Amino acid sequence: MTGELLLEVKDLHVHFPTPDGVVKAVDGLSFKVHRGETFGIVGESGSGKSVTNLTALGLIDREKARVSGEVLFMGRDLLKLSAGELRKVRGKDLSMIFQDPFACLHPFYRVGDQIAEAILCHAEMDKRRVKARVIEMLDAVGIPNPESRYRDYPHQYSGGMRQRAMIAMALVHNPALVIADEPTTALDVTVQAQILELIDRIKKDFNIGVILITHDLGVVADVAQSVMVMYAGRGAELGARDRVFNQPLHPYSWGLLESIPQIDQKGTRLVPIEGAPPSLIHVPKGCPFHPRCPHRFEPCDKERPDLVDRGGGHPDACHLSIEDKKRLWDERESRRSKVIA
Amino acid sequence: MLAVTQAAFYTRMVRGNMLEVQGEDYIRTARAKGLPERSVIRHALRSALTPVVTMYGLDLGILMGGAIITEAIFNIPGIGGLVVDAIQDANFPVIMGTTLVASFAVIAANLVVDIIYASLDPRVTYS
Repeated sequence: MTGELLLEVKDLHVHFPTPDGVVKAVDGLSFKVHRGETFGIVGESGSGKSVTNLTALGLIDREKARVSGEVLFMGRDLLKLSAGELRKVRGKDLSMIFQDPFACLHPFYRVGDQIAEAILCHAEMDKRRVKARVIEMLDAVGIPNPESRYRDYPHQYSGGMRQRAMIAMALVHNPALVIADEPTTALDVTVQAQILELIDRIKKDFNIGVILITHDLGVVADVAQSVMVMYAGRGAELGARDRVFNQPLHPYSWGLLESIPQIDQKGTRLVPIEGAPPSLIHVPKGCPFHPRCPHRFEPCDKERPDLVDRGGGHPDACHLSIEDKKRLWDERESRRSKVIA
Repeated sequence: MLAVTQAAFYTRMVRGNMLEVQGEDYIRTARAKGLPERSVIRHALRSALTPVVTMYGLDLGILMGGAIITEAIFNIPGIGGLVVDAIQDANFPVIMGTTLVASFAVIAANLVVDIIYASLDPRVTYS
């Protein structure tokens, strides 16, 4: 199923020193993304999802951040590239779709010209061919009348169309990997489904890798093949989608799954995860989730669990034994279905 | 002379606007698609300059009023000096004439600003 290795993040740390202390936005994160795969990254706000990817693209202020580790993209460490070399990778082999399509297009430039600019900064082409290419891409992402829409300004586009235009812009150079940072958060639910479908179709048509960052587990369940659950700048659980959804191993994943509303099951209560995400300046010692974890025991506040395979079939970062994990998850599941009955 | 003191304010204003615009999402988009820094600055400058154009239109009026005092003090021949002389002589037709010219200049400047503004920001239309 998985193709060549596109991106490998190894022990990435991104720390921002501030007057109040060091913000550990990403603290020891590792994962791999392959061609032809949608890799979902889920986690609450402030768990380091976006920072990870902005770091990979070099879009964070390098002077304000302390970055260590490796981000290998097609064999090259993006963290070691100079600003100029990185610019040549950005938008060409590795591109990004952002969260808010209303704010991400420049209001003063025509949509078509903004996409044309993306083409011209990596390739020499005459104007007519550039325009033809832009129209072709607008058509490919499902914008009606691409010829006349080329000349429109962003405010004449709807939210969904703007996101489609952003996707077109990300795809003009047939990149190997597209990072979509919460691409559907700002959109209506119906448009969300269309955009997800579009991203999924493009992944297949262009045979690329996609990193889908979201806090919506439903989105991940729909389109991702692999999932990483992030908590406080670290990976909590990493595995194939079906495994993470059906046999989750980390108590935080349990909490996330239980907090999804289930429309087909009447009378269930939503179970929130108690407490709030920790401050990234004072990350709890040991397992960062232990203050909110109902199953914490002795080593949890002392030893930091690493994200490794602990016998559960895929890597997770929890000290509980694999038997306990299975038992506790089954108990939680049956408790939930009892409420329904 | 008058323009020099104002230039300082404009520099500050452009600088402030630029810093603000740098944080906008569309500037991040411009970087993400791999634009060279020069083009990114061009994007930012275009947004940063629009409020400056508006300010300039208003300032033209103040510049006209200020010219009266400067020209009178330094004895520079010009509309300002003419107005002062006319007032001292109670020369009403000249006072009216110069006022008319000054007001016309201010209105014309504002009109030009409005037109420039529309060409800068496509969201602004006059119907």
